[in-house]
Formats: sequence, structure tokens, C-alpha cells
Amino acid sequence: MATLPKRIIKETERLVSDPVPGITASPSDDNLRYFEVTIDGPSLSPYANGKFQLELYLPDEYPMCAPKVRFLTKIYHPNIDKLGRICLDVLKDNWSPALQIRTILLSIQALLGAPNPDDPLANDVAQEWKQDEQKAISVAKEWTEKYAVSKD
Amino acid sequence: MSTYEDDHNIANSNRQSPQPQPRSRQHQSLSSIIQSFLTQENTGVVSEVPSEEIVSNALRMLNEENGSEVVEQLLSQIDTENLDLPHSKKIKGVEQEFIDALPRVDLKKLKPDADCPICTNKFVDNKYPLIVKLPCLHTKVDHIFDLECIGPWLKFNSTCPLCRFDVLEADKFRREKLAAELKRLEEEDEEEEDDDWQNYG
Repeated sequence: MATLPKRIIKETERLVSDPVPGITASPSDDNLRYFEVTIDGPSLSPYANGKFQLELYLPDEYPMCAPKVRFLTKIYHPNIDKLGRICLDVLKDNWSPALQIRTILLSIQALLGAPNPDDPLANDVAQEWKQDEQKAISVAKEWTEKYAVSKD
Repeated sequence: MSTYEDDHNIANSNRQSPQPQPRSRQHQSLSSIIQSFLTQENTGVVSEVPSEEIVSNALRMLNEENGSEVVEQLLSQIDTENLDLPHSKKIKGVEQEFIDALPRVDLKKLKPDADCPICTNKFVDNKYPLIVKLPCLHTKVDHIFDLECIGPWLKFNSTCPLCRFDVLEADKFRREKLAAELKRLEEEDEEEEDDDWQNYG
């Protein structure tokens, strides 16, 4: 394996020593570019009390291109599809090499607090969201309870 | 009775490798050249001119040997495409010349803890720092980077990593300002000349 760029080492160290509240990210033992991530659902959102698992991968071109991030926990959200793929500008065209793993994960947490059904990835969810927001929010709460809250 | 070929110790031309083989080899190399030319253009590598020359040379050779209409057509197509090239280029980044011309920043004028936003290393820790400043407008703080970090980014993106300002816009703005200034000076010159003529009268 090629040597890990200094920036990735520094980012990893800081993620561990100075973690973002409500977010954990730890590199996998056999691949230091692959991170296991958890994001707490923001309070005052339908995802409150949920702990969502994600995977994050830093491609070889990083930081010249965005990390690849995907939800592993099932989630009912207009900008996240059933494969867990996320529709977020900073993960695509609006990526900048001045962004970091922690800023990207914060953006994803913010997306949970502010669903945007006008820029959908999961079309059916977005449509349901726009037709009946109250019902969509209660479905999101149900899914959070069912899939993202640990039962112990 | 020995044949002419035997006498002269040369292989019979009829027994030599059959005609289609070298031909197909020729086509293979041509197609690989075309392929590399196409893939190069797709990835937006700037050095398309030499490969275009290679393709047109290869086509010209084919044309001389076999003289087909298709080849002539392809050749004329390449010529016209060459003419359009500056417009058809769709690379989002900036030219190497632009990167080379970025204003340098003196390390001594920076705070000791200033770091490059891309590699996150402190500028002072770099033994041979080459620090540049982007021409972002509407900002009070300079957006500075290691040249080796910002260079690869600007090759494919013309935006500042810190504020998303399109650096080509700044360049355009600067050029327009220069052009306007030049025009103004020229007009002044003309006016002066007019005055001179009036004096003669």
C-alpha cells in the first residue's frame, strides 16, 4: 500500500483526539483510508436519539476529490436513497480541498436536521415528503426508532 | 531448375507473409493511436496537438499508400476540428501559464502558525516553501496556498478552495480593466494630437 499522505494522518489523529460532538470516525485496521462512522441524529429532528452508521472512503486523489460517504443504517430522508447514497453538493460539484472529513460529516449531520425535498435523490421519499410533510416526518421517526436506536 | 529467387538467395515474394497481415497490423496501430488520442481528449490533457499530428500523419500515410476517400474525409475533419479547438476545449481548470504567474508570498510576511488549507502543514515547516496567493476579490484576508498543493487543483478547477471564487473571473476583470485603461490613454493621446493641430491652425 502506498504511504498515507501526512494530511490524512493528521486528520485521523485529530478525529480521535478532538472528536466532533455527536460524530465518531475511526479508521479500519487493514485500510487506513476506510473509516467507520457514526452520526447522532440532531435533537429537534425526526432522527433524534438515532445513531446512524456510515462508511467513509478516501480515494487516492483525496483531497483533490471528495471522500465517498454512504449510510449503512436504513434511513427515511429525501436526500438519501435506499442504498444509503447521499445527495449533498459538497460531496460532488462543490467539493473543495480545503474541506476535511470532519467538515463533511458535520454537513451530513446538518442535512439530517434540514431535509431538502426540492433537491431529491430518493424520488419517492421526496415526493411523499412534499405531499404530506407531517406524515413523512412520522415515518422518519418510525424508521429511526426501528433501525437506528440500539435496543440495549 | 532454380528460380530467380533461389539464385539470388532471396525469399519468394509469393511465399512471404500474406498481404492482409501487415495491413491489419497497420490498422491496429492506427486504431490504437486514435484510441489514445480520444482518451487523451476525454481526460482533458492539454497536449492534444502532437497526438493530432500523429493521427493526421498516420492517415496521410494511409492515404498515400491506399488512397481512399474515407481517409481524405477524416483528414479534412481533423483540419476543421483543429480550427475549432480553442472553443471546443472543455477543461474547467486554468492554463499552466496562469498557475506560473500567480503572485508569490514571502514567508516572512506570514504569521508563524499560518498553514496551507490543502495539506494543512505550516508554511514554516516547509524547507523550500513556494507560497502563492489567489486573486480572489471581495475578501480582506489573502487566500494563500503551497504552490504544489494549489497547482494540481487549479489544473481541473478554476475556483478558490476557500471561497469558491472563480479565479478566471479575476483574470478577466483585470484584463478588462487594463484594456479600458489603455483605451483611455489612447483617447487622451488622440485628444492631445487634436490640440496640437489646432495650434498649427
